[in-house]
Amino acid sequence: MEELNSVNVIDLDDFQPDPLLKPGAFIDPNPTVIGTSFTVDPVVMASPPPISDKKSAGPSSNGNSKPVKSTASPAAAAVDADQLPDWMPPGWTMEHRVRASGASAGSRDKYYREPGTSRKFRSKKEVMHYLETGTLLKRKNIDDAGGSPVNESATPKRKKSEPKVKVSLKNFNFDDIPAKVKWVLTDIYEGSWRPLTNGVDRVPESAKQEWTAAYTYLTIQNGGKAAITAFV
Amino acid sequence: MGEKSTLENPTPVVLTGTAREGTAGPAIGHVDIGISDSAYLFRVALPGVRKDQCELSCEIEHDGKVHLQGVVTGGELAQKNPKTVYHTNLAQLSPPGPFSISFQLPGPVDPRLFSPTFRSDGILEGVVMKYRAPGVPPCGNQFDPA
Repeated sequence: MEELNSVNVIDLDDFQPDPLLKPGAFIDPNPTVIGTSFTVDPVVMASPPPISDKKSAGPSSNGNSKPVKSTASPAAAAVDADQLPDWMPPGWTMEHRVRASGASAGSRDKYYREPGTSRKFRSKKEVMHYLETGTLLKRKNIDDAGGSPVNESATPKRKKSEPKVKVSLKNFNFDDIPAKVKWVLTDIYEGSWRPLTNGVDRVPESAKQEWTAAYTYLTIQNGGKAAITAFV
Repeated sequence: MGEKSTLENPTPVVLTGTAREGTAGPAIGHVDIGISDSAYLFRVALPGVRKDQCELSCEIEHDGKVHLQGVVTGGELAQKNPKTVYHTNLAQLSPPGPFSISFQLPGPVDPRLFSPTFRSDGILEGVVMKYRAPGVPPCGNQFDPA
């Protein structure tokens, strides 16, 4: 591990959180080996993708860029020896895992296990690096090299829900109208105005957004289909 | 001789083009009001009211009264060289200082549903939604008759 210090020294602060992992989520680094303790690269341990031990996940229809050999394998299926890639050293095992939760649920991951230590690797690149140098490949290097299956499968399958632009109009009472509202120009660059009900009382930001939403609803052509449903 | 005649005749200002379409009067406070099916639009001329020093506020009342308040900034060139004194020969612009403008929209409004814009050309534009009696569903588009 000494040579890591020269080449692969990485400040832990540089690591970005795994996009596949929810904050606080953790994964048993070696769920199939019970009671076996072994050293795991802290980096790998910190950011493996979500894995479920459920065996029920069916074939997935996600956009994995790498073809998966087995089409109906269980969530964590050991691959038969005759299906192993030819680069894999003898004795090593490979397994497929289907992610059961998280934004990338349904994605498949390959894991390669070294016999004896049960040390787990997530890509051919990691395995080859380990075989050549005897050291673990840091995740940062994988990212830099690009093209590793780990990172290809990191593409989220569905877009994150867009930030809520439309505020619900349900709470906006069209009949409960204040006697007067004073609008004060607050930001000349943004052109934003702050409303003060009855001339003095500050309007909460949430209420102001409702007002804006109601105004937008009334002004935008067709009223906005999504907003209309708020009245139904 | 030419200068003297200017002094004696204080309105040598000639308007052409759309400037003639306006009316003579105080430079600040010319108001246009437009009506649509669901909203009122007003435009107020605020020349000399700088965006960054205007302290502009616009109070909208439920019955349609609108009160504008703000401050007119003085001229800059005169301030740059305060030793030179210019005697006012003709004064049509509003002098520096606070002002207020009040006018009445044609009908009741919802003062919450107001979208003001103070344009960089010194025109304050605002759209206020008309007040609808309770139970009347909101109209979808202020610009098209529903």
